[in-house]
Amino acid sequence: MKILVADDQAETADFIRRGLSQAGHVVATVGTGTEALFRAMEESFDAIVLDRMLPGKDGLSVLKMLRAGGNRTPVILLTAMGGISDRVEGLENGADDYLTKPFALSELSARLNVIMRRPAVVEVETILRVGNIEMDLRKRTVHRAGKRIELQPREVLMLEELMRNVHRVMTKAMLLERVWDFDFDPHTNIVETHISRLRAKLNAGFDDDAIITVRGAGYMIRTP
Amino acid sequence: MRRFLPKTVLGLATAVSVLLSVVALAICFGIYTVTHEAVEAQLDQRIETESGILTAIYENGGVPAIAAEIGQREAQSRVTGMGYILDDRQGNRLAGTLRAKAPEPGWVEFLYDEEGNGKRGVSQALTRRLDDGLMLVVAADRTPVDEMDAQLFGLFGAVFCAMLVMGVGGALGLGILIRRRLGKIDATAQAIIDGDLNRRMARDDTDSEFDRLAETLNRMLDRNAELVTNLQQVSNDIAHDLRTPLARLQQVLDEALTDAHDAATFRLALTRASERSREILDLFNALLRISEIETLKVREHFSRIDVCEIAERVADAFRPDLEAKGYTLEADLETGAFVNGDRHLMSQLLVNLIENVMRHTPSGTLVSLSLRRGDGLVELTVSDDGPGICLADRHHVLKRFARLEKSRATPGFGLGLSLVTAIAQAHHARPVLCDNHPGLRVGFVFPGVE
Repeated sequence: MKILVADDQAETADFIRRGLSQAGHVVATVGTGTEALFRAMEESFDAIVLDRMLPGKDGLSVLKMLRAGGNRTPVILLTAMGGISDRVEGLENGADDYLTKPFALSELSARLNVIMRRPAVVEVETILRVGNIEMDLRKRTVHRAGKRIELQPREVLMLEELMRNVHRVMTKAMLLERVWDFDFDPHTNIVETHISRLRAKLNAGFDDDAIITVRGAGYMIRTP
Repeated sequence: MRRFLPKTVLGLATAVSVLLSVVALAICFGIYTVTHEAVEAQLDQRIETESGILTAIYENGGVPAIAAEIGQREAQSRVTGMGYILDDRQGNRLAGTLRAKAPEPGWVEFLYDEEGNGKRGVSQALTRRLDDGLMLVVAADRTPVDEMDAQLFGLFGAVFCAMLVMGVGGALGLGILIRRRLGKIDATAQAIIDGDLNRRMARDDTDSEFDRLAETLNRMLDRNAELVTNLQQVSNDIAHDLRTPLARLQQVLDEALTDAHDAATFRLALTRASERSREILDLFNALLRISEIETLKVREHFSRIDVCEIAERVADAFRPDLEAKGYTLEADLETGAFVNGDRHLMSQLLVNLIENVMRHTPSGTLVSLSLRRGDGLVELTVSDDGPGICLADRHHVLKRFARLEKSRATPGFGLGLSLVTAIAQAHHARPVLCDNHPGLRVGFVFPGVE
């Protein structure tokens, strides 16, 4: 995948470029908002990592201009610590996701994977099927190999997020945002606890693990 | 126009006094003109009347009658100030003792005559031509008019001088007074700039404009001093509290450098170092979050949020962990409680309070969430039946970096409740800590929305 990284701090830009290149992406880096805007309009990228604070034009202006010009490339906005308002403004102005600096590369990578493969058109699905796990989205029921699995509503939601992003790592922070709508990291490991409960319910009576733990990154569900 | 206006107090005072004097002068001139004209008109009236009477006498009785009348009237001229001339066609004097030549018929403003002692008199006169070419002159002495003019001028001069002196003096005095008061304020401000932050504007308790200004300035200075103290306190706390995790990081790294020899030990040390630096970042993150919330800019993004849904979500998220650790969670939530706010911040408020209970109470504690609404208010409480916080410490724990002696050993930086306070304040509420008999109850009352 081809990714444009706009960050004026050479060290951060380099850290992102190396990390994403290792993950097999083609990365272009720019240091100012104006450059970012020109590159994004001239070439076609699969995703843009845009810093909120950029010299020239700031990230938010670049994002607004891109969206105003009809450019729908997925954008992850990098915000400074604390920047609660930045984040809200970013999402309101068409960012697909945001990430607070400093962040782990695995977090950026996981989020990029999710937004890059996000389907352009929302399909009307009523049944999600991954391997032998089946979820009825309307009745909110889950079956594994035909066997009914009783889950709490929040567990269904978590499983749905994993199934919708099959083969993609969902990080702790992503699950916290999507399942519990927490934009912060509680000290308590609530994700781990809930995943282990969900896993126990899904795995009861089966030999193979339904949910894969990706060490240091997050959780994933995949077809055998 | 504006740039011609004086800028200094003295300039303004001078301008005002000069303007006042000029106006006074104009008023004096007006009064003089009106009075003068009135007196003149009175003289003219008298002359005309007498001239009329004399003409009538002449027409009835001829020259002897008018001559006799003039003689009679002249006898009183010392009192009346009137003079008369009756000449025949050839200019021979028939009656009247006014020593002047008869002017042409009509009004004459200034008729000069010789008085007995060689002085010159000035009169105002009306000359009439009677039948047979006789000329009748009736004149009135102008001395009273001139005297009155002189008196008026004297009076006006005195008034003008007094006005000028008073105006300039008053303006100067006012100017000096204002300058002195402003000078005091200026000196105090200068002293504060130079570092004496405890100086305040002098008050005189008169409730005058200056006194009120001084009071306002003092209140502003007090507020600033409070903020500065707060800032110093926080900076000190940050420096102090950062030292601990930084020292721990340093310790891990130093140990690894001296003791570790194989890759696995290094890796372990790196992991621990990474955890330590994560702690420091968390601390910064919490501080920045608090200060951002305290600026109240977050209110710009507020919308109608369902507190019940949020509390349920938080309860759901924490129930497994709480139960696994031996706590019991009770949630008694009334539906339909809406406030104007930020759902993430509201979630964080609840999360921080629940995590506080988990951190500071023993296993087996009952945690209760309760949500009530009524009278346009939404009441949210988080309570426990743990050891509680004694009355003296309750105020203290809301402060930044506050940690009670008995919790020194537990992880954390003492920012959890500061964040809770900041979030509550952004939502127009404040945390109220009270005794739950036993335990602690933290309550909030938010203004509700429909």
